[in-house]
Amino acid sequence: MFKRFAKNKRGVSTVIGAVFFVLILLGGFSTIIWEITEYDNYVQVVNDRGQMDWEKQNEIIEITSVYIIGDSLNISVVNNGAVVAHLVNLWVTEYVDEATANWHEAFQIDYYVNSGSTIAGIGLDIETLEVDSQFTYVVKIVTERGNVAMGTSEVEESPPPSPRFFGVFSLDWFYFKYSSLTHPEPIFAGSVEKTDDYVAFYVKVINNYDEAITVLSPSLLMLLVAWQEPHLNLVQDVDYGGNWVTDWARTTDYKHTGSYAIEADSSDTTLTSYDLNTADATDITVSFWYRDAYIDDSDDVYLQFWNGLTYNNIFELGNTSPENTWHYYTVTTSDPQYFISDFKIRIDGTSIDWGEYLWIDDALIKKTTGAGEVILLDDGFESSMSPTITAYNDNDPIIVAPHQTATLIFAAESATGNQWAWKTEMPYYQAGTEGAIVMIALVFTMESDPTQMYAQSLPFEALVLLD
Amino acid sequence: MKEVLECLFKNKRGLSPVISSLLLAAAVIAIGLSVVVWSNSAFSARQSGASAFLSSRSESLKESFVIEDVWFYQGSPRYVDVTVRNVGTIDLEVVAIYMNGTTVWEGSQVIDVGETATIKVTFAWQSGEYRIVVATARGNQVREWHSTSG
Repeated sequence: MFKRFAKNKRGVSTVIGAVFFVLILLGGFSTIIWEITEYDNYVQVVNDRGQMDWEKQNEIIEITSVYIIGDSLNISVVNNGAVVAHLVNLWVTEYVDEATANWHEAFQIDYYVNSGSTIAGIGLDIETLEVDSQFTYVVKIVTERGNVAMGTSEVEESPPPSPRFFGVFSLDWFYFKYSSLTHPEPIFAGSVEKTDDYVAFYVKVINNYDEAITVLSPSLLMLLVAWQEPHLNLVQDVDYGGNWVTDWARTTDYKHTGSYAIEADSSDTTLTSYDLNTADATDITVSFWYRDAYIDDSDDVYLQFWNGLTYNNIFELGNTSPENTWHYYTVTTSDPQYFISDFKIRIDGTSIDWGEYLWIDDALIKKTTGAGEVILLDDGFESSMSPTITAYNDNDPIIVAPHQTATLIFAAESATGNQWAWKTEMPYYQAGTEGAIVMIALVFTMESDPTQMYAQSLPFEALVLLD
Repeated sequence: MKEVLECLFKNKRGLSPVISSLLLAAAVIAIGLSVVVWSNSAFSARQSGASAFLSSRSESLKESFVIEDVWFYQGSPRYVDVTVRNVGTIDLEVVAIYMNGTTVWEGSQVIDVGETATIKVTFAWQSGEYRIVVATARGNQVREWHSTSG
């Protein structure tokens, strides 16, 4: 070792110095890399906070109405912001007068309101929230992001109230029945049905008054964009419990079980189920109880199945013996022509003459799939979305009981064969779709003053697509 | 050892270079170690400072809350319920509430993410408006005006 020192006097210190230099350099680099990583993490946190603040600023909710219905509050909230709002808390204060509060309490809620949409019925499902119409209630709704909207309750005016849709009626479009196209954003839920000779719009009306209202036949749908003459007139088919489209009447006169059956007479046409998806079925079973009175054997009153193109006769109902008693009918088919996505059954009562009647009760439709048996429809006609509707011809009014729902069907005849008269007036055509903005106007009277008519057009429009 | 000493006594010329080399190496090691220790200490201090700064800022940014409700209760004694909602992404700790500049509550109320907590503040309030400030342990504050009339 000493020999080496003696021979080579240079280099050792340089090597040692270099080692230290490298150590210092590594320490510096590791510090820089650490700082970069930490700073990136910090920037991510800053960005997240910016996003959170942006969402909070762009969440704009507004309470459009607070109504006292019975002992419940019915609150409607509109989301005017750009993001989905999650409503998480409802604060309610009961005031005797402006300065005196009886109680102040929070209720947990869980509603999501999409941008641009309105949600109603907040408060109705809170069992512990009971209100009294003699007091005033200030409500405050809090979102998950911490935004707050406030409103004050109103007692519905005594009749005759000013006609309003929002708050008094809620009217919406429900499922887009015919078209398989994805409708654009303005349609929250649309319903249009097109057959060979008419197009129909299904409109659900909820009467939030404490008294019955009568919707009159001058109610109409019109083209908003062209302000044309009305093209769509109210027809009075009734949607019973969401299972059927029909002009038959529910009745308590004869029923197999429960309190109701459905009845057809000479003024009625068809009882048709909504679309039932049987595409995955291996067989379909349809059963029901029926009772005919005085229907001629020569009349063509048939149970029919839809195969996607036409209705096929399955069973004749008008030639039973003995008459005026309940008969049970059941049929199971494994015919693949009925395994479609829009299978439906229909009972055609158009040939029923004056003085002849047919009742149907306890209808059941089920399918068998690889996963087992699935019930598609089970209806004893006990529940109805419109239990008080009493008129079934084209000129009679539709009575909607207090706080009940009715489905109105607006239909337009085709004026020029397969060309819809108003179809050519549509201002915008998109590839594969055609549309029009339509608007609804309801004409109605209140039960307390049947002589006073009200009319109000719906202040929003819906884009309807036809195939 | 004997051989080394004999070598040193026999060859007197090599002694100084060896000693100087040893001294030089020792000096380099000493200075190098000092510099390394100093630099490591400096880097470590910097990391520690930056870490504390960024961590504090990050947590402060993750913290977000609102005064969801303030309710003035009559009675004896009068009190105020202040409901705070944590709308941030990190748990928070409310440490103080001020009303019109006066500390009316001090303590520790931890609120989990997405939750609310109602803090009862015993305070002889009078009719009018109060500027309510809620402060957290991380130094964030929310200020709102509230009226005793609701």
